[in-house]
Amino acid sequence: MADALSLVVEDLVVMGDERRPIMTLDRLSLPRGSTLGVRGPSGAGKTTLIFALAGLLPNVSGRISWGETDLTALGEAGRRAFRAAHVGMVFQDFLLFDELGPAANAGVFALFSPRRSRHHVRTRAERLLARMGLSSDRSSTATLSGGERQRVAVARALANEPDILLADEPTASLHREAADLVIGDLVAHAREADHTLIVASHDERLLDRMDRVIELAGGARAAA
Amino acid sequence: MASLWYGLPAWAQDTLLGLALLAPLILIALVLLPGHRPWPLAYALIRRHWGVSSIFVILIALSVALGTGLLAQERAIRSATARAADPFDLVVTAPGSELTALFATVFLRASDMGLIGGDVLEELSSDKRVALAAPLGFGDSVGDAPIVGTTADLVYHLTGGALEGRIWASAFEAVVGSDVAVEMGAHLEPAHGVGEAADDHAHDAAEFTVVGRMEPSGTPWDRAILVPIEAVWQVHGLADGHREADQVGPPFVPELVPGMPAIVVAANSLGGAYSLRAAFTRDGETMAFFPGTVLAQLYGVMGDVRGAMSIMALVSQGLVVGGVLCGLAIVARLFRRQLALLAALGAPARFVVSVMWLHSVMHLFAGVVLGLLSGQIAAGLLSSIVSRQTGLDLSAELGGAELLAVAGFLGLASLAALLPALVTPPRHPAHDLR
Repeated sequence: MADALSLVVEDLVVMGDERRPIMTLDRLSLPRGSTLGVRGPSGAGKTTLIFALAGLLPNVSGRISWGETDLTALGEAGRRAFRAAHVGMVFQDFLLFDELGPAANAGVFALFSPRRSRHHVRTRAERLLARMGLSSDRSSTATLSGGERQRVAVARALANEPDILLADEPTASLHREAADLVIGDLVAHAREADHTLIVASHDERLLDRMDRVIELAGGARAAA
Repeated sequence: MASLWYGLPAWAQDTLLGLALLAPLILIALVLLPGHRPWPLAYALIRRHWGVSSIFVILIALSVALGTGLLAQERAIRSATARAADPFDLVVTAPGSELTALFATVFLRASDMGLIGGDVLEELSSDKRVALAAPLGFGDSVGDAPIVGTTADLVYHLTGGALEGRIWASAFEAVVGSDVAVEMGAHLEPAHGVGEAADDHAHDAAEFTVVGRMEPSGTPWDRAILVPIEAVWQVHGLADGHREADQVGPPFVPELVPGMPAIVVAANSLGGAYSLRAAFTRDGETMAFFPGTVLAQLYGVMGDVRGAMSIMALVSQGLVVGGVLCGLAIVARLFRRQLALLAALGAPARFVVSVMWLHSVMHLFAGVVLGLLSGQIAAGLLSSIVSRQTGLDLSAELGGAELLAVAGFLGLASLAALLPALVTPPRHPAHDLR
């Protein structure tokens, strides 16, 4: 099935803590292997959309279908299992375990994945780090630069060979040069492996590399 | 069922009991851990708050050390005192406090005791039920070492004949305990009294020559100087129990015996010992008692104290663990984002809980191991102090009781360690990720 994990979002409503809708999206569809940028000012709902697409949010109605799987119909454990099998995520502030080295961070997935795939995850994590020019034999990531840390995080997101890559402001904490390296890594890997890549960002250099860009404002799609 | 249990050897009972006490820990581990490897993350979280973790571990270690040290120390005192009392089947003294008589004879603690006459010694010596009847005479000392006047038979009884040098052949020769710091052949001048109250010049004319040394026994007798009881009497200007000069040892002439505070008796049989005790318990004349029985009564009292102290130690352990787990629950809030990240990566909830639980349990284990070690060291230090004061050879070592107590502690605490894990992740990961 070539279209196995294409994305279809319909009538999406995300309720906030106060039982009021904080984000709505009538319709969005994305073929497998394409790249999408989500632009918008702070508070526009970019992070909410990324989290909703990852199945990280409760109180979501409508439909978020990745291929045959409708995330809104799954329970918490089912969404976790879906993420483990299909989704890689990158965050603005990296969220590494500082006390672990780059290889352990990038391969953190191996700690809870099935025994038979552990070795594979670890080797792939190390190969990704090597390709990014990062040494994996450090015992801590605390002393790495911001750009290096984010690239470790990208390697972590890719180590489990996800079909879907979701990135929330991946370059916002980085200076230009480091940001460009991270953009290069993200886009190159997504294209090469035919991943679907969705990026929420302010960074025009990053958005320019996407196939499509949608714009959010006030928790809804802004008029094009 | 009960007969099956009592049919098991002690080690098997202890092992099964230990496993039962550890059951919560084992069950939780079996539910949480299979298929996952949470250790590296739990360890990483400990390293993040290294200082706080160290303090938690030290607190747990101190509470465990207190509990186990106490148990070990109490058992060491019991076994050492029982060993010391072992050679003394039956003791006959003037009527008074059995406890005072026990401390004076078995533990050689100086105390004022009434005297019994030569007729009692004569009667005992000629009794068929008696294997040994040895008089004891106290009151003098050399430095810190008490001088005990007795007969050569008692030296054989205590040592089984294992003696460096030889037994005395005349009244002013002495056999010393293994801890008495004098050379063979040395000359000892006795002082009247023991310790601070001793009068160094009361017996200026007397002098003992050391001719033998006993093997170490781990009892207060290791620091005693044993001399013929005739010498003790002579030094005090009394008759020495014999018509002829220079005779040493039995038989004594009853009317020439000035009296002695105690007679150590060994019976030919257990039944004999009981009937001797009955026979020599005479109102206003003599008192006969088994040192072992008096000690057992003493252990009863000690057991009550130990029970109370064990409960206090247990309560303090409970409080410490409660406090530490509260602290860990608060620390856990500091790495909520890391835990939310695991959820975002798709880690099952069981894995996240197991990281938190292991984080707590690693503190507990480190604390328990450190606590057992320091409890052992503390009990050792305490033992050496008590040994120095009493002459009892205390060796406080960890035994089954302490390990079982620790197993119970770990079992309950590992159950309680689920709390920080269960309290921490209720919020939705998306909250913590922002």
